[in-house]
Amino acid sequence: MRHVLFLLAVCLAATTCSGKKKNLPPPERFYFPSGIHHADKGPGSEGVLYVVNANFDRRYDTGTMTAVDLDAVGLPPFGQPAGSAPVSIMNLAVDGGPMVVELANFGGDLGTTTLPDGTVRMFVPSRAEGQKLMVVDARGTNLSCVQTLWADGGSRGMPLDERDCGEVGASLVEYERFGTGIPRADSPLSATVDSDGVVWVTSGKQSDTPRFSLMGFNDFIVRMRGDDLRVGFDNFIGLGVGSTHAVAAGRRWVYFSGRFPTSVVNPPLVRLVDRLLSPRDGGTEPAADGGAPTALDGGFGFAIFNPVLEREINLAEARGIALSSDEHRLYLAGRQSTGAMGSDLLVVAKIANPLADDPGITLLRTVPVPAEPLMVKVVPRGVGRGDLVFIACGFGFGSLVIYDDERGDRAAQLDGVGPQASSIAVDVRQNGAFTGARVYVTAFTDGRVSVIDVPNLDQPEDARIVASLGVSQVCLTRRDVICDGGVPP
Amino acid sequence: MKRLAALLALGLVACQQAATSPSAQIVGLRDMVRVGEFLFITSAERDELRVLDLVTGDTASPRRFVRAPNPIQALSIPVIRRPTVVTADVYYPPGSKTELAGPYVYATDPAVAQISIVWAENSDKVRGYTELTRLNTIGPVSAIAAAGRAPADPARPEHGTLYFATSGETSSTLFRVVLPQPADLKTGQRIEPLVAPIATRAGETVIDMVALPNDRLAITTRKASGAGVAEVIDGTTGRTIVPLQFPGPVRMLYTHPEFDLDDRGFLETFAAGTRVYGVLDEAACGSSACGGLVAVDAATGQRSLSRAGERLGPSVPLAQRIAPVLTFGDSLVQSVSFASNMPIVPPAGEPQDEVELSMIAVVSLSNGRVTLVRAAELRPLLTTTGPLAVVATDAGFYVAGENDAGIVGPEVSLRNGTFPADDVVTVRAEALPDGGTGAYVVTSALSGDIGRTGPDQQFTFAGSYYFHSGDYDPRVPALTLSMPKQAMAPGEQYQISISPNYLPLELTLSQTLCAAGFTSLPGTMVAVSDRAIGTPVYFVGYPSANAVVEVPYSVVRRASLLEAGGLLCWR
Repeated sequence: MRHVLFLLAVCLAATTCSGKKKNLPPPERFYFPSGIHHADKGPGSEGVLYVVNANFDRRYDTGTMTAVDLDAVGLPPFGQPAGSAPVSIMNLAVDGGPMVVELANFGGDLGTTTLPDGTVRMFVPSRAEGQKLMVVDARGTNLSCVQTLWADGGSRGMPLDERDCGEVGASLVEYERFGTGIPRADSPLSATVDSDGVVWVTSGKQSDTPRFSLMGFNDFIVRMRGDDLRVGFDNFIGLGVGSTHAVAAGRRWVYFSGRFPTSVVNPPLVRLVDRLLSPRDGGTEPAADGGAPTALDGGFGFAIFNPVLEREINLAEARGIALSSDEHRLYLAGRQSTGAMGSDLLVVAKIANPLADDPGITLLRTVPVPAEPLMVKVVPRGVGRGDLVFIACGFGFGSLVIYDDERGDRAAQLDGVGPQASSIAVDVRQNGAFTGARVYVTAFTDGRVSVIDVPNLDQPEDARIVASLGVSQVCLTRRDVICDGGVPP
Repeated sequence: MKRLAALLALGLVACQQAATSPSAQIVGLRDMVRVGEFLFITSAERDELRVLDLVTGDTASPRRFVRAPNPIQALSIPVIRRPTVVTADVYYPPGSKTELAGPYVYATDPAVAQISIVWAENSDKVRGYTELTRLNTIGPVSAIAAAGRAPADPARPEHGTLYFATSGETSSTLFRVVLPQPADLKTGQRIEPLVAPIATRAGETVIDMVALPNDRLAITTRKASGAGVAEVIDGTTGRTIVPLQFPGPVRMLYTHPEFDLDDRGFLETFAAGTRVYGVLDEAACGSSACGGLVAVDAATGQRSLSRAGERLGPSVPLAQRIAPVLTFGDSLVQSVSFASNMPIVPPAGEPQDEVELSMIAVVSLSNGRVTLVRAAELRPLLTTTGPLAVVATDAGFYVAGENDAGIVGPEVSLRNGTFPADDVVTVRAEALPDGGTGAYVVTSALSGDIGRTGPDQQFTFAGSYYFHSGDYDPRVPALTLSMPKQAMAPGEQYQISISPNYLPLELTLSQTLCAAGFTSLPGTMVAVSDRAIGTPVYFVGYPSANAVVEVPYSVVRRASLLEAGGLLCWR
């Protein structure tokens, strides 16, 4: 009998171990870093940096999120005198364990909120199979996955690997297999969380219906309540023709930037969704019985507003979007058509009344920026002051542009923040008598994060690169680069 | 024999290659400036300038990008990182209708604390068309201008003074520098010791400036609040000579070459720099509603009079003679360029015997269009003759001024330059308590109750003018109604629908005019009227296509899409 039990145990062990061990990105480095978030840890601390590793070339089985304790990596002191060479910090002091969770590949820009108990909750969209919306909780550098996979009407249970947030993330294309194939939010690119804790997610690929018909296009964005982490039929809002890239939430309206879909000429640059539930002109009443709405093209009861900004500025598409701290400015990374490199713009528009039915959005000015602007991030300077606006531009060795709304022009431009500079996280902090900011920028195709200090927000021209975090990934991704011991020349 | 043929063929191919104009491969066409027969164009993403030769002497290829020493490449002039602004020394020779620019071209960027100083002549085989030196400044360069001076050799420009402003935390500083002759400026020579500060502006940033004749400088500033001032200052001392009384903050400044205003046999010559043109800053109100192009006189700082207003004489109040702001709908002005004595095919709304305009301004707009205005007269160049009205009665309707088909109704007279928006004027017969007919009540959908009239009476509404057409006279009412003798019964009405019918000359190019990219968003304009480069043209830089499009005035006409006919794309 003991022999039988022993054999059974051996068989069980063999069965258990027969699954191939996951090949994950090395925890000690970033790999195609895309979304990024900085969280404070307390006075005197550099805080924690959360980085989405998109695993863009699928060298590994999944993407990851890495939590970096910035106090442990040896960052230079904030605001140190100019002239010091940037420090290359290769040791991220991340050894796996709770500091890393798995994500589905192609993770994008994340939305964040802080729960009452101090937990940082992050919402990460993915463009990989299943088009997942993943939720990660962080307590300091301890990361854990939060289940959002409820699309079948009930929990599917935790997967074997509880640290794979992709497995437990809700699919945003669950309905593609049924009926008309909609609503679905293909290619979700970024997410944000509004002041009510509601999560908003873009769809970078408008949906056709029936699927593959290239007809009946509608772009469905996703709205998910923070206290009901599931994505069902009524979480989708159809904005009409034209895809969306980035999202910013205001006090009443949520603003979506318009990304180029090949099937649309002159797509909408910006569209707004009313956060309030009351339908207005342009919205569709929910079904009278309170069940699923019967129409899909009007936003499921949400009012949608199109300021038709493209009538005032002739651009091909937009990427990053941000609102000023007083919500009277809209900033948009404007791009020209593919093939016309070097003509991109920061579009600055006025929002006359951000709480009105018609917020009154008008073009204010355009500002030249380096090619391929992506993320736009606002850094307030106080009540009554004009904001600084940071723009990550991906072309060449990557640039970070600082637009000063008080001057109405660019105040600084840092080149060499890393190829395909993508996302920005900002840590606003005191620097003696001044208020400054330490800025983190992901370099998608380089695999590092640049650290930029703005010692005084009133003198953005003094911004400088002070460090890079991580090891360049080009030794892994490019055959034409000859590396020495894993370090590129 | 076959080998000989092959060699000959190879030789022919080689010759053809040599004759081919190299593509400039511009990446980042943010600005351009004309220096004589050349256009200096930014290729910002490549940190360089490219040079378009406007007079090649080759009829098959009348323009060509200047070749590099390796002739299969276009010449590149490496300059500062990402140059987005270029300017040149500008001198206005008295009696000449065009400026003399050069010998330096300056390249900079609002986010960079450097200025590239480029020798814009090819008179030195080694150092011509190169960056001679780079000026390091104390802060980012927020504005730049340069004045040339009377040349010793009339055929060659003479440099004068470079002015620039830097922005700082709480102030902006203006500087001037007088450079040596290009031949005397050593490559890489430090010129910082030559720089002299001339003024500090506390609490504001100088955002644009333009050099005026006689060592003067027009500047415009912006404060954090969005307010700003414009002034003419002394180019040596920085002292304010005269404040410029623009109706609001201004974000771009221009001046003009000499032009002759030929008006009904009256000829007046305006010296170069007589006026300063400003593009109003839309940030003042937050939209294009407060934007537009407006002129002030550089000597007095006061708003310039329109030509029609000037002709009216001092008996008419000054406020009614000042040229209104030229507006351009929902879009923002991207760039303006001026050219004097410009031959043109007059559009339908202009006198058809006019063959030359005193001065034209070409304006690029953010909505993708290019518009032309009569910059001398300070009014739009019109394709229509004024507002239209349709009169509706119980018996039917008719177009005012046309055959009324016997329908009884008022004769309507409308003045050009009035009724900027659609309006509906209603003339309604008032019913008296005893059932009789009282006065006709005249109301406007936009202006409310505008008066009373009656049968066989003439009704006038003064209204207001939003531009001054050639026959502008504010004493003539905007609307005149000659009411028919036949009285309306109580409750009956005439309804007069008025359309502005305002169609200034505006052009939209076909977006696929250039082979790569879309000619969708025009940027810098360069208007050229002198015959040195052939037929008068304007060049428009399209960042969206990284190309310069050449538009001869002979093909300018109002069209929804201006196709490739007569247009050339240089890229």
